[in-house]
Amino acid sequence: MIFQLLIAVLIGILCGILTGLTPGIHINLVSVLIVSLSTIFLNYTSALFLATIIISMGVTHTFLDSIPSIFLGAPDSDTVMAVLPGHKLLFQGLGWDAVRLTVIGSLLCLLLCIAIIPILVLVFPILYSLMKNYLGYLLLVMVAFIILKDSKKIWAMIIFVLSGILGLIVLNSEISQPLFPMLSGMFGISALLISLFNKVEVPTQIDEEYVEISRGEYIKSLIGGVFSGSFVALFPGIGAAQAAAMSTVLFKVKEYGYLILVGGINTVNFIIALVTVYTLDKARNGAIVAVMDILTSIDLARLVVFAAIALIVGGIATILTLKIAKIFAFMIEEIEYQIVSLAILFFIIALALYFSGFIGLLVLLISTALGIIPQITGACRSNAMGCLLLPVILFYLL
Amino acid sequence: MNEKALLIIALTCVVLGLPILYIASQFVEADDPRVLTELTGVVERVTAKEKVTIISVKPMTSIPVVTFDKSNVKKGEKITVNGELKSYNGKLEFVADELK
Repeated sequence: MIFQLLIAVLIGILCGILTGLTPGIHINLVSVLIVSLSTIFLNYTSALFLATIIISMGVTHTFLDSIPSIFLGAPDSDTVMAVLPGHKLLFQGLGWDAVRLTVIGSLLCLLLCIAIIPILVLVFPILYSLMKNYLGYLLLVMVAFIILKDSKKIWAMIIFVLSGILGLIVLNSEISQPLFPMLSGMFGISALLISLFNKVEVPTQIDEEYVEISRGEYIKSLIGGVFSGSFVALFPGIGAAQAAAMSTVLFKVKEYGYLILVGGINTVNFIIALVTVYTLDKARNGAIVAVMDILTSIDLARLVVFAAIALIVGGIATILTLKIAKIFAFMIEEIEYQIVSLAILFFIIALALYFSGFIGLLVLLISTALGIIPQITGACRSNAMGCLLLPVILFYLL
Repeated sequence: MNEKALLIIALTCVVLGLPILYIASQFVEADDPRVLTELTGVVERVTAKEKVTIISVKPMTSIPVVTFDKSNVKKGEKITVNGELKSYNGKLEFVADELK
């Protein structure tokens, strides 16, 4: 079986490279594809094989997705918070160094998070039973916390409410793959349009370590990454972006430490979703829902297998991310940034049309407009995650 | 933390993860019988009994398809079966709810 699993790991890593580097192609999309074809695949292979592909893909994705976020300004919802400090370094010629910082966060937080899984397995059921009746209120407090810490509070509130209304409409509609056009518009196309209009010039990139971070900042960022990534896994509808917004306030992480924090939260959030399935029988992200569709349950042996897979994949993904980021750093000078942005923009539009039809295009247009508001007003873009949070809060409170 | 240190930690992760995966994989079940709800293939053999028909479907010939309804499927015919994997006398069989 070990050879089967290792082949699945390799396939998963390849898929993760594809989803991580291609703006707009989220792991949820490929996971749904694997599930829908599982009746055919299961004639030739095992359910564990397919689940291993999804998990390897998910872990690889959390390492590599910082590359398009930083170099192309085309993040997915999990890395949206890394765009600003990442872009700042890119325009100082330090795009590779920004990726290195997110990789440090991802790898070290992955190790810490695997080490504390036995504790989380004991603590999660107790915490969840204490909080489950108050989830709606807790989410509300978290949202209030995120809005109040924003320097543009009124705009933050407006963005949250408007995106929440959009989320309510889209998620209750008949649109196929509703998250794709909604999140791609808010966090992908809006950022690309702004960079196109601003006609940005990317300077020559240096693939050397330049940014130095103090030991204290490292510790704060790593603890923040593991704590926030694990804690938000308990809550439905809250993801890496919200966790990052909360931890900057809680842990007072500074700009470059923030990249470590975001990288860490992203990876931890994915791994801990396996623990919530094992302890609470609740799948907290799309890829894990897909795993549960195939496996139906995760026992202790499977949890250990998946943790070992995460460890192996995390190691390989670290090496891959650093090498691929060097290629990106070189390529970004050679090719016209505006052309790349335009190509990605049309690619996302084509995908939205393919997956969600003309109504998907309408959703893409509205969510793009919403995504532009925080960039113009200076409010935090993560407030647009109201599109997922508001429907969840209303579900629990009403 | 420089690139070299990162690469050393990354390789350590792979080296540590492999034996853990090998040991843990000895205790894990590869398949969850509940997951298979539909199978498609070509009829290889049909054995009709008094109350039950047993169909061997390629490529999944190791698990026979069992139907309690009257069936007139023929050898070489492509079929899609909706149903559930069940264990009977210690052997797995796919009990059909619907044959298409």
